[in-house]
Amino acid sequence: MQASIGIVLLAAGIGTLIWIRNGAKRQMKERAWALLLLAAGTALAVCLQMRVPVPNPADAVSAVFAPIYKPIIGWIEEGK
Amino acid sequence: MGKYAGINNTMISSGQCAKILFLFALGSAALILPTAVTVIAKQDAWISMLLAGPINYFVVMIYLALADRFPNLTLAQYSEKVIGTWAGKAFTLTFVFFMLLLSALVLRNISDFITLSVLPLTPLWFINVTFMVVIIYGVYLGIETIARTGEIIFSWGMFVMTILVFALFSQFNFHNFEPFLYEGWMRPVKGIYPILGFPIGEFVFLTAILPLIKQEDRQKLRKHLKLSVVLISTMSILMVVFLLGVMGVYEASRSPFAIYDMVKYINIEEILVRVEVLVAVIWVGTVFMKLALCVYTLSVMSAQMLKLATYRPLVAPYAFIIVPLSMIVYRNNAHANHFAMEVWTVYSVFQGVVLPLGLLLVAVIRGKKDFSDGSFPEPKKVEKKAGGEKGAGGTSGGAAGGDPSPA
Repeated sequence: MQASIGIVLLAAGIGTLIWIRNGAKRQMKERAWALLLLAAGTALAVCLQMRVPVPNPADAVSAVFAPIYKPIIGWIEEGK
Repeated sequence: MGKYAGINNTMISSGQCAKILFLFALGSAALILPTAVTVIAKQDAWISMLLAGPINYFVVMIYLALADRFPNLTLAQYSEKVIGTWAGKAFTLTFVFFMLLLSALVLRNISDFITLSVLPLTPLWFINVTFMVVIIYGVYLGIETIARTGEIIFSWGMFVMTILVFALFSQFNFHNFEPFLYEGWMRPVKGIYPILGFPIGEFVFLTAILPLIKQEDRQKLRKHLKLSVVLISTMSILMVVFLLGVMGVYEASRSPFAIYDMVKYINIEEILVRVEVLVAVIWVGTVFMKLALCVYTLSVMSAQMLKLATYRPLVAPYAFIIVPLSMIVYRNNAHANHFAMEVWTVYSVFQGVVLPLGLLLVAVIRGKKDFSDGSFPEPKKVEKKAGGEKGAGGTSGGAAGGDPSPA
């Protein structure tokens, strides 16, 4: 729990910094995307810390490319 | 931070670009790849490395051909010009995801290595966060800073490699290479498979770097990149030759970080011993370069995809995603081996070779060429208007991207 609060506080600090640093040029679009990404990262970190199962992007990649890599691996391991 | 730190549009020289490519290729692959190739090709692993050399150059040629058509644009920008705005954005999004995953994998590699070799009791997240803070700072300062860091690490890396080669020669055993090609050429050809994905497909980061090379340096670029590719092949062949000669096939294919274990064999009259930490230092340096370039490409590509005025606000948020992602991406060592050596090759070749080659073909067929300037807008004009507000932003560190570029 404390770790989660720490993560959120850190993210809030970084978010405030980004908000201030881009304030002079009124870069609303930059601020918005940066904060969106930051929110996603915070959610991911908190999920990880609270042991909420998060889907692994590596598994998605494995699933998508399975029809291509499996025959190749079969061929490579043939004569081992 | 210096006065000109972190300006959007800094330029690098072609020599720096070649060094960047060399460090990126050596990056995280140097320590892990020789094991993977040795597992498949046994004592002929060095032939696989030799055969992979020309493929390196072929892949770089694709990016150079694209850069000839769109000399001042990155992949994220010319994909929109070639296949249309929204298809181009979707195309770039696949690269953003690729770079995000690659950054997470590279970060996981280095933290795995450090926990295994130097700091066994330190939690993973601590190493990740510490490493990432440096990366954020480096990427924030821009490509020129990264390139200059690369020049320093390059010379130190070459120096250490030379020492290692001379120091290991006394342990070399030529019988470890026998029998030569005992199952014909098939085995070394199969050994190319992990090399294709691990450094070669990832060279796609060059598409974000090539437009940043100084105009007057462009004609030397091909020569320098050729030299860089030759050096990459020489270095990887040398590493595998020494790995096999010193450790032999069976030990080499069992060790997770084979080069690191090989250097532990150095023992010159009990005077020069335990130099393996030198390799660790150089490796941390090259991985820093690789990760910095990945995060740079990631932020620049997404900023250009979203048409932002600067990539810099995205660096820290991306780092916030990469750190937790690197902790979930591999479940354990077996999964890491399976993913990095089997799945990754196909994905990386798809992203790094098939998609850019397809884009090049479409550009050639549709006769698309564009010499417009794709650099981020300079914040000069806005600076005057918002001069009064600078005090608020200035307190948090001075150069908030407001300085006009010296270039």
